[in-house]
Amino acid sequence: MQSLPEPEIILLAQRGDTRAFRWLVERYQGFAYSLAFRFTREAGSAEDIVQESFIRVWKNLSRYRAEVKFSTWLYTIVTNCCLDYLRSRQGRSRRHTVDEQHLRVIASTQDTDSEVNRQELMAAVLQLADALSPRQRAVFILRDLEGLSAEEVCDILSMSTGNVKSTLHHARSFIRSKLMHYYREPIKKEEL
Amino acid sequence: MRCSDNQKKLDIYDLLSARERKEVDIHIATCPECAAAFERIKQVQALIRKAGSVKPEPDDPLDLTGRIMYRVEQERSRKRDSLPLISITWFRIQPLRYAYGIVSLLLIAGFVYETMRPVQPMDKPVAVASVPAEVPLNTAEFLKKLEKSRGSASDLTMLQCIRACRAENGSMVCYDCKKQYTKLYSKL
Repeated sequence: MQSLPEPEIILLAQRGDTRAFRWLVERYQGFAYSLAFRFTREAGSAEDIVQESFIRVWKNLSRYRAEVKFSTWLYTIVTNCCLDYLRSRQGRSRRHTVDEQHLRVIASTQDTDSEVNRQELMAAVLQLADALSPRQRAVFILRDLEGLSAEEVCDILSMSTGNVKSTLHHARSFIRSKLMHYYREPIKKEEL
Repeated sequence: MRCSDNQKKLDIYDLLSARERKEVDIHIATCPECAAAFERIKQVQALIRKAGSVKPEPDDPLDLTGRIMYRVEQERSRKRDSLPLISITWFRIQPLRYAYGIVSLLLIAGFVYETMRPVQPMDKPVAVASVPAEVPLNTAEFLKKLEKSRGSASDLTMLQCIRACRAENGSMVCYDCKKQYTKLYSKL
């Protein structure tokens, strides 16, 4: 299976070959999990979303067209599952509060290059993103944390470029204002 | 460009077109306030990039793959059990779809044509039916007149013939009787 190019493996999976589909799962489940975790901040929920996403991929594989990158198609499915999850959670939502104490501790350590602090920084950014609307959060995560191009974000969320720009502007300015509040001191020092 | 317009663009500098970036760059070069704001934005974006460089991973990737494949197998067997006798796959083959479409259109067009076509009146019959060999006659009245006139022997033979015909065929007489009857009737 490893020696075959990806488009052929996708074709085999479309014909019902479970070995080919397993290869796709192994290759892409990390991306799917990363995206799902950034939406949910819970390992269990992220794994549920990954499972659900791959079942949707399996069911709809016959509709997949090679003109679209498989990863983009998968991201669309995972993002939709995440947005469904957020909508279903809205009724019994935990409050979108920011753990200020936690953020202060992270900001005070200064050294954001160490692995532990990068983990902490990621947790803080995701916590701040929790306060965004689902669509703002989706644009912010896909563009700034997953590093997708603006065109891919437009395709995945079926949004126009202008809409993505304005949504991202609001999301980024909110995250920036919160982060600057805690990281004010080091930034001021650097400016001097 | 005003500072307020410029600062809206600073957050999405990476998404701007080349022309828009040039405008922002020119403004920043002449406006220290916007330049400082841009510097802060870049620092925060660097922090976010660092946060983005941490990739969350499942605790046990193999277990996750196994669970996904287990559900795929379940889905597969469920689908196999619920398949109809005639597989729907045939309807998914593109050329066959076109063929089904064309046949359906032809049937619909034929039906519409037949429904809309004006009804033609039937042609008149070309030939009239010929005179039958046996004809119904009012022989009872004729016989009364014949007996009154006391006809000849040949007339009486014809009378017997007519009676025989009547006994055999009811009100019908044979062709010979009819000829004699017409001849005699003209005499009476």
